[in-house]
Amino acid sequence: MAKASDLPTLVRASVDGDEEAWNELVRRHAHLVMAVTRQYRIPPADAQDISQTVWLRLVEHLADIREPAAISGWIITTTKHECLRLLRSGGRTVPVDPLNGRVLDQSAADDVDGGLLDAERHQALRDGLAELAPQQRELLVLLAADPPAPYAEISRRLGIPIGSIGPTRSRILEKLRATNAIRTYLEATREAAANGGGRHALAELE
Amino acid sequence: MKPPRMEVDGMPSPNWNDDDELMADLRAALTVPAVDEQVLTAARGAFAWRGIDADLELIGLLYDSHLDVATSVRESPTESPRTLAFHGDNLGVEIELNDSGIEGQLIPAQPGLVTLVTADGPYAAVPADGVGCFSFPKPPGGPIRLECSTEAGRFVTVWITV
Repeated sequence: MAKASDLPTLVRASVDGDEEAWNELVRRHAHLVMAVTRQYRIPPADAQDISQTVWLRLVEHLADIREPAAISGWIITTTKHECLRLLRSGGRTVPVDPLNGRVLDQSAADDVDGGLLDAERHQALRDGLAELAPQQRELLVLLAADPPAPYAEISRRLGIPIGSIGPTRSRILEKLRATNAIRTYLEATREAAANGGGRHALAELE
Repeated sequence: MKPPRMEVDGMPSPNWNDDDELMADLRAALTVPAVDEQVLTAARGAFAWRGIDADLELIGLLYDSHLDVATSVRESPTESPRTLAFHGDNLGVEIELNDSGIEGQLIPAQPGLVTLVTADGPYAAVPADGVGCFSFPKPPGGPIRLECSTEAGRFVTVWITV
């Protein structure tokens, strides 16, 4: 049940004490925390500590979340702050501006910013995918595999004629674009763009 | 007849309006390194803390010397101990993390009981003296928080990583 739920449902259920729902939130977003720590080149042992802090904070923050789709932004921001604290404490080798978290070396800075944007965008795609019906999701996952599953195998596994896989893919991608997760993400990106170019999509939600 | 395509504007690169670009981005989104089981277990375990401190005021981190730009310009971070200030509406606690452990003071200065809490639960408890001062030996790595109890009230700080 938790597996098929959208984010608002999972967040509400977690607030109400549903551990399954919480575990599903973890399953869907654990990658995101680790992706951010990787951007700052945090060693694995420290990344583990940071991850635990972020999840402990989220447990406390959960009831205050008004817009569940903003949870990715909250996770990225919180993880980023913890990474910056750690980098400062350890006198690490990546010089960052503590005010905005930008890495001071310009090419490294572009890498980190780009990496965080990718992480947020990919999370939105995975969230959107989770909103689709299981059969639709499976088709996209099979086609997104590297290398993609052969049409004959997809046809056999999903019971749809080879000739209709192409049009079906197109229709499901359209559904993906219309999911709550994707629409909310695009909305946030648009707002960020309208509020001045430099700021990227992850609003400071704290 | 081709159905009308929903146009999404303000599109970041890559262009999700294009089926092939969207598929390629989806492929990238699904190609994520597996997260360590240990990390997942710890994250799931965080749920055990839900509502545990609901009767305590949660106070936020107001200042962290390691995120302070003025400090960072003046001195190298490793030379000075990290100081943190947590403040709620009426009560607060300020701490210094140094090589020997944690030294802190309740704000306003007053006696009380301070408990150092790790993700596994309460780790150590010490009294705060007449002017609110207390100290702990070096805590284990990982997230910690302080739970403070005074005559004026009880509160708990947000989690921090040390």
